[in-house]
Amino acid sequence: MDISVEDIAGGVTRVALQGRLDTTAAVMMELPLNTVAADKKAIVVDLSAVTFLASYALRVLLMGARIAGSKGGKLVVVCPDNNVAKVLRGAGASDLIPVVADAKAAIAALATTA
Amino acid sequence: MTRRLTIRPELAQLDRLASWAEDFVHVAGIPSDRLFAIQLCVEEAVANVIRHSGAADGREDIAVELVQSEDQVLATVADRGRSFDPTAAPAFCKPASIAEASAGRFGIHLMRTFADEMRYERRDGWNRLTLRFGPAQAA
Repeated sequence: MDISVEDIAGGVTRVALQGRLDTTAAVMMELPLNTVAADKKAIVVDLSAVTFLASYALRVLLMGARIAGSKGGKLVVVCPDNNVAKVLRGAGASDLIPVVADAKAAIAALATTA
Repeated sequence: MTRRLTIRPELAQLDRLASWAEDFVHVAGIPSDRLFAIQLCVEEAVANVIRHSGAADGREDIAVELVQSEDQVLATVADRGRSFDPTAAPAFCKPASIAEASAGRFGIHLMRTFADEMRYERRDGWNRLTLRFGPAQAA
């Protein structure tokens, strides 16, 4: 699992994850994601290059969204329609946090309530 | 084709489990689109045992078996921890809020979603959870 964090245009912070988000990877991404969620107001978590998502990773994503929301921020997830998206949908996560297909839609989703 | 793996009850062992399952799928010639479901369900089942069964306290190993039979795959996870039947867990209710959702409890639901059948038995001090992937075979 690789994680990169960059500030992009419009005050948006992009967290790009890559590879398998299994239980052990989820433990490693928890602290960096929570830090971004606490510090930034507009966050895009890009799962486009993620090939696997375990339940603990799902929980970490939701916790990030919860922290962002509690600080007045918003977290949007980018995920194409694949098995990872099926995990997000099946657990009801996509009903609670915006899950969109690409970066452009993510920026639009952030703008709706910014 | 049958393969067995014994792992220590530590989360760090889950990487080994994933690569072992991937190798099984490739060697057995199982369609690769089934790999995601098999890896996910086996990881969730083993992670549940490590976290909740008490097997980790007693340092009891966990036995995992993958069997390919015709057009289906059976995955069995066996442990000597405290009795726990995931098939008896209450039906999943989609969380109404992020606060509720971030408490977790998705593992059993994901197994029910991605496996075609889940069976449990407790025998001789062992929990045995069997997950089926693929169509049920005719009797």
